Amino acid sequence: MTACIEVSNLTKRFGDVVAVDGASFAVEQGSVVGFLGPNGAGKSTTLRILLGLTRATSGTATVNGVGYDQVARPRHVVGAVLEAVGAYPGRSARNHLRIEALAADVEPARVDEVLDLVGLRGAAGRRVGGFSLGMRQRLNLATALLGDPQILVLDEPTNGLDPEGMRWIRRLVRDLAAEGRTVLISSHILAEVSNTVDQVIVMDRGRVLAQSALADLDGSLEEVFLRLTGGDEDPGRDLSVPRSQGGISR
Amino acid sequence: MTRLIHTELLKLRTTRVTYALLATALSVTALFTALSATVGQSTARPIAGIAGQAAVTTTSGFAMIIAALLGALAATGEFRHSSATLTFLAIPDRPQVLAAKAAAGAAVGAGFGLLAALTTTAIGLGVIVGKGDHVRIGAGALVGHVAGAALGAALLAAIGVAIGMLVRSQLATVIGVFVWCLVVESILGDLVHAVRPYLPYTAATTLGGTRLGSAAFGPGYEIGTQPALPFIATAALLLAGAVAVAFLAARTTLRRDVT
Repeated sequence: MTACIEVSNLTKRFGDVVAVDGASFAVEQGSVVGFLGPNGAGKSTTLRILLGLTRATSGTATVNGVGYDQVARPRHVVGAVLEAVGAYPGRSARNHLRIEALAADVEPARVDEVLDLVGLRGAAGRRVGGFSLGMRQRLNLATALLGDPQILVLDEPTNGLDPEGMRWIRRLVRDLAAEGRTVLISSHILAEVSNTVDQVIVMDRGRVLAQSALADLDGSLEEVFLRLTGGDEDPGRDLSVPRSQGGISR
Repeated sequence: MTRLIHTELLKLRTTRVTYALLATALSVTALFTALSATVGQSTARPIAGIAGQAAVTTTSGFAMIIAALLGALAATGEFRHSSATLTFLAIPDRPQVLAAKAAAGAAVGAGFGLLAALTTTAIGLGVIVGKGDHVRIGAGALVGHVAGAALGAALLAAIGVAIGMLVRSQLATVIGVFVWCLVVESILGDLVHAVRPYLPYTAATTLGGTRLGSAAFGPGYEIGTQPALPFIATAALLLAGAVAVAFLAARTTLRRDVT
């Protein structure tokens, strides 16, 4: 299998704070990978570096072997749903997508297709400012899917959603994965991804602690995750010592 | 690049603030022209003369400030509403985004300048004719003033985009644009007459036929007989200003992390 996402010795410092600390991992084409870690683990920063929005202090993050800024027509290659992404509140959902389609060099007809896909056709004429959190997240997904990309990067896509919204996103991710797309989905909620992904990457305090196939885990995802990250039992431990327990391949 | 400019134009067309700014620019232009042509008449330049008629048909300065504001809002809005993330995901080449935004801002800014110039020309001529005076200002001069106002507004809009990309903060940029145009240029131009032709807002208004300094705001502003720079030199100066600020933005804040 070929890796379509590769992160190598990635480090990002914000002043004295080390947000990402020598992280390395690879995501193979066609895999569905859960990018797991507690809040503040460095997942979002890593993804933003991968997508060219944040500059790495050192190391590399590539898509199909090149930096995101070198990807031709990037929306056709990678679709991303990130936290803290907005749309002009006075603009309708349809106009928002028309703009994003034009920017991404996508046929205008695709706008209605993605509106149908995320169930927003009925609200297409409404202003985004009046949307609920769940509707905004659907709009973000519609934007990510405009270019019909083979790689999807989803950063905490169910944050703030009600159970129905969470279930809808889980189902959509499963459908997208079934189409053979590569999905990298970050979350701090294990139950959210445990039924969706076939691989996991565990990150904490800026470091990648493990990458493994879900089936190879020694125990439940929650047990392994807590063992790796220390949970509440050992909050002050030194993560510089590589861990090998839990049947996790590094 | 054409696609990117169309994208930015679509953003401006689907943003209510564009229409609100246009309405503000035209209504204030109409008000200022009416006041200038009636209660604000100068004995030195009566409306019956060419100088007076030129003054009341070229009150497009405020629309140029609004054009600069439009450019600033188009740029800073991306950061205020966190849509810059989506923009840079689609177009990772940030300087290209800046260039497209400046071009689109200039195109819409030109429209603002054009419509404001037509408004002030129509109202000014209406007052002249209404008072029974002969129209002494030539058609060629009027057309030149309208075209110049469109160019001046376009260039100020491009400068507004560049400043917005450089500063990012919408509040700081909006306050900065107003304070610079309404206060700083008035004070600087009054204190040091030699710099007056080089001040961006003041210079832009001369492209629309306004006498150097007469579009200034503020008390005690003295309008002398100092000539403006030649038309081409003024346009080149403003273009150079837009390019310089855009270059500075591309080399500094545009490279920063997008959060």
